[in-house]
Amino acid sequence: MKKYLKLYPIYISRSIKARLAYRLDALIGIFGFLLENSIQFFTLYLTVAAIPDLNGWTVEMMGFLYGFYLIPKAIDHIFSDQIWQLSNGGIARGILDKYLIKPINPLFQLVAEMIQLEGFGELILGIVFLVVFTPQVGLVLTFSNVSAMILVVFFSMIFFFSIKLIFGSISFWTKRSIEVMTTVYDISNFAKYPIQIFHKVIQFILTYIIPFSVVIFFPIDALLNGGNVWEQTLYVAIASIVMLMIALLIWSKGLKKYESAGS
Amino acid sequence: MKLKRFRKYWAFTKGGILNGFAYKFSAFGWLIGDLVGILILYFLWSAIYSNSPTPIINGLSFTDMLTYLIFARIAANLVYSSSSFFIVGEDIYEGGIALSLIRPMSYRYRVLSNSFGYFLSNIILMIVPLFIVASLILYFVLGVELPSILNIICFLISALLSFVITDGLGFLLGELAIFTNALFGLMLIKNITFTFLSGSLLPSAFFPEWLQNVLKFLPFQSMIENPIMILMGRIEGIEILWTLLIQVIWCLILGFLCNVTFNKLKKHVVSVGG
Amino acid sequence: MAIIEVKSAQKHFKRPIRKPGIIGMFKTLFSMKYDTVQAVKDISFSLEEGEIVGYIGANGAGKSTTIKMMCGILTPSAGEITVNGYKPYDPKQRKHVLKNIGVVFGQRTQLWWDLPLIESLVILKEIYELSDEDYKQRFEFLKEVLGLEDFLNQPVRTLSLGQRMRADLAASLIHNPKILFLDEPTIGLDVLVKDKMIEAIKQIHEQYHTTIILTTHNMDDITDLCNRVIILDEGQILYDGALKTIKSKFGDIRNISFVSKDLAELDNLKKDLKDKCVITEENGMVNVSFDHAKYNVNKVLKAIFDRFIIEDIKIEENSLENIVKKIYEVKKI
Repeated sequence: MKKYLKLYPIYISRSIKARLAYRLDALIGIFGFLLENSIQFFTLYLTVAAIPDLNGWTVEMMGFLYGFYLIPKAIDHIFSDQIWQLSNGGIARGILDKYLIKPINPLFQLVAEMIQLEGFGELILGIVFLVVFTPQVGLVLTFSNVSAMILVVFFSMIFFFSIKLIFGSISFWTKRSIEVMTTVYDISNFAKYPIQIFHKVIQFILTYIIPFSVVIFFPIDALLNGGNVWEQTLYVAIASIVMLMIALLIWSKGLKKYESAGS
Repeated sequence: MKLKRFRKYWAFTKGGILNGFAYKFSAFGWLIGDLVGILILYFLWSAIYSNSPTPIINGLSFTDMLTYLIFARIAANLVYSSSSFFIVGEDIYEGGIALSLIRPMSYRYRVLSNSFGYFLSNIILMIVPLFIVASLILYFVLGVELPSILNIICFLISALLSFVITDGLGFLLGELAIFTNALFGLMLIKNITFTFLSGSLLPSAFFPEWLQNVLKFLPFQSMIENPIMILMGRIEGIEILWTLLIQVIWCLILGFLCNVTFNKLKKHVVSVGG
Repeated sequence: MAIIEVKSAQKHFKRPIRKPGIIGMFKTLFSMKYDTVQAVKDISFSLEEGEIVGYIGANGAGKSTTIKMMCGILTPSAGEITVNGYKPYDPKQRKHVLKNIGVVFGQRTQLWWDLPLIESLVILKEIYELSDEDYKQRFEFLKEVLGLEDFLNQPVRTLSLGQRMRADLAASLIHNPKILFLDEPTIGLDVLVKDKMIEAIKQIHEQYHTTIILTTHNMDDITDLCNRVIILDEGQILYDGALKTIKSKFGDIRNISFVSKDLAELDNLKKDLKDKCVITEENGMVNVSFDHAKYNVNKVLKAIFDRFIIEDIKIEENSLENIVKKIYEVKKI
């Protein structure tokens, strides 16, 4: 364990150094994500601006929600982007081979390999939204709710990571799973709407099967509408840890299959 | 004589079709992705309209809106899969562009033919089935009228023109790969700007005044919004001809821009060496 | 004790059945039928420490599969492989193997694509937990032997193929592994660079007595480096023995190639030398091969000169390539 703690910063620092060597590319990437999320929010804004509020949610509240959701997503994006390589035909190309012949955990190598600076686009936007919308929704920051929110961000980050790993690992069996992964990511986008507008079946899926709403919507709902923030934080933690365990299980099963069947 | 010229490009089209079919799981993956998106749009807009004081928002009723968004979403696949961007971008990134310059055929047309192949495979595998399913669901569930034959024909013409426009824009943007390695970032910028400005996320009636005015001078509405409006019958009679004419003009403008920029690019590649 | 032992290893794969053409594409889209491919049917051999073995075979003969099994990337379907006393594909024993092997895959790099070589090596130092002195010593040695100085600080993705191969070789050896697997390391390299690499490998072997397994299509590499050769064909061992033995066992063959404007006498020549030589003709060049331990060179040459006016002539020793071809033929008959 100590070894990995020592290794990780070494990987990271070198990856950052290498990425910064190509400034223009990094900036375009950051800008791309910043733009994408800005436009998506702009669309949301224009949509909701036509009506007074959406089931009790004003545009400002939705802005706060959007900003809050961007932060764990961004942090996960920055640190574990290499997992997309798995789903993008990486298994067939043999990217795992170079990990398997080294005496350290292949999943660690896969994740540590790259720092994706693009994610900073999302991170910056998320912080901007929080700064802009916090006063507008009349939220009072207390020690209690701020620390709860920090925990929510931390566990949500683990949640996003686990989802990526689960659907990335599916490509051990299907050779290519990038479309499914993108779809699941699409589903996450819509957990930023008040869950009540959806049909019960969908609410069920978003709460119990791929619980994006548990890690995105419910904690903010509690925060802004006077619910029990700490209770929601607990649920976020549980959901994230369960997802992580499932993800690690699927990954190791997939790896075993790779070793017996090749690519 | 003309047929012979086309034959050499047909090989690229065929290649595009076969590649488009190559991954079975991918094909189903995209289909499910679209269905999910459309489902969610349904609920969101139901809620919006039920929270609205008036049943018509910005000139569109709920059924209008839903029809528009579903069709636009399906058609937007054309934008996402516009392979000319990738073909050009990757050619530049990997240096294959130097090779293409040696071949005795127009690079622009080669890319267009290849792109057309992908377009056809997309049409067959995804777009046509989705349109049919969507129309039927809308008809039976919501009582939305089916488009008339005239509308469908005009729409097909419009869609073909739309493809050429999208392809041209993709080509132009792909050329930017000469300045940067960040193809993915460029793709994001391209996708989100195109899909938003072309009206596939939200009809332009919802955009602020100033934006609507600017868009009148840009090709984006010709990509998605106008063809879909034709299909829905919201553009009628002489208006249709006018809309198609605008699309043709944009095809020509973009074709011209592609040639000009590509010649500049060629000179750059030849002097610097890819 | 042998450092590598392969006992009756087998490996088979399932492949989906694909049908050609556009209609076939539709069919494959909906079918789920599989075929079983026997990549490795039954292989056994053992290597002593310090040996350099050439592992030859046609594409698809099972070379890469065996190497992957020895590295622990693949698990054998049957049989057993031990490397340095441990099974590389056993999750519990794997660690012991990985610390002691280095691998170079000719087709892909193991280095970090965006990082300069020097950074990759530093990371490897941490991964393999090398002491500063060990690292420094190996680094200096490899730097000199492989000529890394020039491109040490450039990102790997900007290197030419020759530079990248040398870089990969350095990365595979920095931790002083007992065993080195080289999977097509000279593929695509031009002659000068290739020779340099082979020289470097020789020096490394001399210095550190590393056991080396080299798979390649290039027979010259084998001749320069290996004292032992294993020939693989369709998943089985065709030949396993010393390089010298192949040469003597399969004859001391000479090849005479000549060019002549008028080949009318060719059939007569064939009649003359019928039992002694193998005569082929291609594009105006005639090739006469014979075992010079058994038949007189002078007589063959005389037969040729009597019948032809020679414009160009070449006399060579049999190449390893031809010997291998012959072994394939012989085993098949």
